[in-house]
Amino acid sequence: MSERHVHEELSAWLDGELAAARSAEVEAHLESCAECAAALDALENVDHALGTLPLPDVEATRWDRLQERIAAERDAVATAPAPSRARGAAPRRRRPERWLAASAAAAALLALYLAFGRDPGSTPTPPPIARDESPVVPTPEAPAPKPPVEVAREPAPPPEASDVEGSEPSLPEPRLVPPVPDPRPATDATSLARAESAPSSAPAEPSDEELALAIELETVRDLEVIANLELLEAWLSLEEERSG
Amino acid sequence: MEAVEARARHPDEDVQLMLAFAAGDESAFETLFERWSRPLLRYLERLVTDAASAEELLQESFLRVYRARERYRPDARFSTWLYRIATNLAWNELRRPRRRDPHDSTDAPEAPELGSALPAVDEVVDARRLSESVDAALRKLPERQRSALWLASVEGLSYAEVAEALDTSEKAVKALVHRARTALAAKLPRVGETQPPVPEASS
Repeated sequence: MSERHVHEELSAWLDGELAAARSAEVEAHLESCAECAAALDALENVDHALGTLPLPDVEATRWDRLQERIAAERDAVATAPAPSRARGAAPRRRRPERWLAASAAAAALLALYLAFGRDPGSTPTPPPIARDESPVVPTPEAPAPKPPVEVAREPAPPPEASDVEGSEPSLPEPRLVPPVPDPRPATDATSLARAESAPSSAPAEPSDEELALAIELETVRDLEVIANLELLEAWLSLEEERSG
Repeated sequence: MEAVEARARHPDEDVQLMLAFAAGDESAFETLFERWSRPLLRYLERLVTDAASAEELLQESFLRVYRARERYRPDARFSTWLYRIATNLAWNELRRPRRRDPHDSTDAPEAPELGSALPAVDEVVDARRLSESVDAALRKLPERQRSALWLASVEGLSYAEVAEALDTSEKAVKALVHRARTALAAKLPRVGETQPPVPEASS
């Protein structure tokens, strides 16, 4: 056994990831094989070189900037519901809309679960959360948005299967979608963009449901903890509490 | 495995801090930031092409931690979770359509602050040149290899933890790390007799 070269195992051996028996075999082989020993030296050299890359400098401003962003987000969450309630020319029946939002959230979470949890190799398209919520946004006098002069409209980036197989789907980065008036129905990305940008500058403030959902999904998408459906249940029970 | 455990960084403390933060102790969050922001930034600097993007992704990563605090569950090391968030953000960033020529490879070093040319091989390779060499060579690796090698070699995550951070299997991590390390080994200038490699991971 010790006469076979062990190149393939050397990296795992360096990382302490071989089972004890296999590790002993590799070590025995290294004793007698100059070629593998040289290969090991070269691999250790890589780790040594990586270890020379210095830590970045400490910058106090990093923490301050983070605090500013957190404060801004707190404000957004705290103030967002108020304007959406205060506006609305005609009195609206809120209950069914909430239900609608809740079911949209359920559908979105389910779609995420199916896409991520079951088949990590696929590249799912973003779930259509915002479509059912369009009646929530009041549209007083048909805006008829004038397309701005030569605004380079960012095309919805396709979930391109990059060279990396089985990786994360390339979801569009919400913050970078320009809040231009768009005749198309609001998509996932645009509603998230509205939720994340400052409420004052947004064309239409998101409702509290939209905002909560957007924040929820933003995090969920990254962490993929959706596999546990507790989140969905918690969300729905919160909805019940609110409406009940 | 012993080596990995030995290199682990305050695993329990981080989890305790995160739980304290989830329970409302904001100073625990600051401690976590102080502890992890520089290693995380160093990792992000290897993934994206310029320092400003790396700083931005660092902010974004901790913002996600902040948002998710109440849902945090200590079923993984804090660092694994943090690196998972950061890796997802960085990979999304790399895939974002750019204003640049589409023929431009995403992995090509663009910004002078971080990308550096591979220096000529000299007889004497000092630490600085070695750093530059490995940094440049690392940037040419596919992103998954780059992340896997960094997390296993520099951050000391076990393959199981790397698999979790990169959302893949341990088997895939083993292959990724092996390919990455072998590719870098071929590109790095050899260290002379006066500078033997430091076998920090071997027992």
